[in-house]
Amino acid sequence: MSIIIDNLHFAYRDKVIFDGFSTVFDSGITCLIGRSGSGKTTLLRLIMRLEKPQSGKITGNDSIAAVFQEDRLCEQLNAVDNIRLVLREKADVSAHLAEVMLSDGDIAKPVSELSGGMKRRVALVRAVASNRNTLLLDEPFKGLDENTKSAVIAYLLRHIEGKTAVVVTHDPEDIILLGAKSLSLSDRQTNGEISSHHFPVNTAEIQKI
Amino acid sequence: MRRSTSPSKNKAVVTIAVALFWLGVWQTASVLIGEELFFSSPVAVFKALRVILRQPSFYKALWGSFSRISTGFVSAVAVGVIFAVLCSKFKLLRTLMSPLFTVIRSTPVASFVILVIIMLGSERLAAVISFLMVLPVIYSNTLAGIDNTDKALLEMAKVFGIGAFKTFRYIRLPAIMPFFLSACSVSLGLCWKSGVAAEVIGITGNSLGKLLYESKIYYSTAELFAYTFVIVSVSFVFEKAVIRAIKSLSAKAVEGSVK
Repeated sequence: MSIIIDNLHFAYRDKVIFDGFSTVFDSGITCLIGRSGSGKTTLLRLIMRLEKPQSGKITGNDSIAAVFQEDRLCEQLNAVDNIRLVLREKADVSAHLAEVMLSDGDIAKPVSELSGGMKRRVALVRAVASNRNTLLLDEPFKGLDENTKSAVIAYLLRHIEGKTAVVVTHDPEDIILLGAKSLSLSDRQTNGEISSHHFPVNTAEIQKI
Repeated sequence: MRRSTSPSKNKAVVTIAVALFWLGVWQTASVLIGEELFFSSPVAVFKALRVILRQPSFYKALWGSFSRISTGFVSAVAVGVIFAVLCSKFKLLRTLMSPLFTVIRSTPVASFVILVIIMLGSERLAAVISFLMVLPVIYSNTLAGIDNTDKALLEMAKVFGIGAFKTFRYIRLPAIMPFFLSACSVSLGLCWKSGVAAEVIGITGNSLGKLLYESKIYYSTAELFAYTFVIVSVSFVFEKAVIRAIKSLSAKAVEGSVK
């Protein structure tokens, strides 16, 4: 399902961030790039309905899962319970956690005892395993080493089929690794033209990186 | 070969040693003062306690004070929590209630005691006074706990569409509980002190306060100390039992597996 943004106007205090911004996020992955303060996270928050635009319309954002800039996990719960908390139907999530290289020992601990990189993976699995139509991922690979990042990207690509994902990143290489389209945001954004790279992606190759 | 002693055993030995030290100081002071009427010795107090514990009227008074004070405490917890929840939702109500709780908090207990004796008589006095002392503490701490709930987690719950019950159990409750427990701990001691003081002033029938008052009338310092010891002990046990029960219930709720 596509997310359609139509003639969006949004200003934070005196700073105009979107000035008649329109775009369409089709199924597949689109990376949002741009310098800090250009409105990448704000756009995700507008799609999540956490911010209200001054005018304009966003449609197709009814079934959303997210990875926020911070992990936003319930610290007293373990990884499995954090994920179960957002599930609409019962499902076994331990296989998902194993795919991102979290051991049985790790997933049994309260997340307060996990490292930053482990928490990031739990937050990502929570978004993917929640089985929503749209994934909004704000710097999902932050704090991951190269090996873990490639496992996480492979996991994401395996489970993203038929869904729409918008990924905020500062690393242009992520566009290639994810075989994603990209949208570059700048000041007073009006035009939302998405460029397609369509690099061939081989998840097995990525895991070797 | 050296035997290792457990930390809990060491702690118990230290506690007993400290208690014995202060009993020694007390006994020495009473011998030096040499006037049982003004300053009873631990031995005299222990004898008075033995006599008191054999009297059925003492247990009637203990139950009377306990039931009145615990009624006041439980009602204050219920009302304080309800008001904290409502005031966190409705800013106008919060603004309206703020001066009322400030007045309750800063008014001397004696003023309330006299007012309640005039309005309601002495039978319900301890319950009302305990209620008034505990209410602002529970209200303000619970409200602070609600305000302290992680906004980022609430946003996460909104985005994922987590239901109200799960949001309360796994996100709000862990934030509120430390504030609520601290309020209960403070106010449990407070309600016993203020409740018994009110019974002394109101000379409430079947109460520890009345027994304290009578020991003052008859200059029975040993009995006064013995009743004080009973009040401190009951208050301590009550506080520990309530806090343990709340901690155990909240731990089960907050850390329980998500279904």
